[in-house]
Amino acid sequence: MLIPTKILVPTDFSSYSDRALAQALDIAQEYKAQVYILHVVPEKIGHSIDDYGLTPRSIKQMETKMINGAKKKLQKELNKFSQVNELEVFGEVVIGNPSEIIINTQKDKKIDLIVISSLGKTGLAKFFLGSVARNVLKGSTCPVLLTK
Amino acid sequence: MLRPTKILVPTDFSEFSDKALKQALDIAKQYNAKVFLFHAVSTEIKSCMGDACLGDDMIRDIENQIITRAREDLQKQLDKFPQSKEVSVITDIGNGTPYEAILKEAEDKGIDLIVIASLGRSGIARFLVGSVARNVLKGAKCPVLLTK
Repeated sequence: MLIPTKILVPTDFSSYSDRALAQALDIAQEYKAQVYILHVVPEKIGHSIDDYGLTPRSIKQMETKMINGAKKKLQKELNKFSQVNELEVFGEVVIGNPSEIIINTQKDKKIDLIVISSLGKTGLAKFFLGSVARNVLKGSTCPVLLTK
Repeated sequence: MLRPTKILVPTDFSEFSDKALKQALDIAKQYNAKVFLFHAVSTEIKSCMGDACLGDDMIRDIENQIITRAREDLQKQLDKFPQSKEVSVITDIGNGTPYEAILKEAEDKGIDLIVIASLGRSGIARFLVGSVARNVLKGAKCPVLLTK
């Protein structure tokens, strides 16, 4: 029986993912479900700038800065929606490969519905499906709602 | 606001689409929405094989048989789910390439949610998304729930 109890919404802070979040909150309200909002900071800053003489320590510092910045943005995004106050909403920021982290989070947190927008930050045209959405649709073990 | 009122469930009568139908019925019950159970057939019959041609009457006859059979199969699939009695369900048959017929039906009927199985009749592996589902995910103008 399809009764979502834990909804995962990956966000990259684009207007597309704003819409996915709005719809996920509507669904959560209808089913009294929890909402997990996940932002993934793309990894690999480390390797690509090795030649510029960055130490592991300064990379770590950069990463921490990126995570803190993303956490602030996540809070800002949440503040756009008044429903958040009536619901159980959790925000999380992780560094890594976006689609891999999303799929792992789905399994770890026992998510039973993912709501994702068809396009993200690099959204080009109307009839495309972004690479993150595509990989999540393929790899997740729970139903995925693709918003437009 | 996401509040489905008309839910389209494309079916190819596979067990995968059984699951999609079941979830769609659950959602329809929750939101008091209508379910459109839809099957696309291809009635473009090759009339000649070499020199052996079928008469027009014969072709019409075959087309009618295909459609009658599809209607029976739709009813049979619905009968598997007792929930279908509590939801208003409309069955419909379209003609043409499955994904094109599905997208056309969605537009014609003003569908606001499509529930589709990630795999269909030719479903091979668990981690793939079938070609019909993929094209529907890409081309749909409304949200699409991909069931697993």
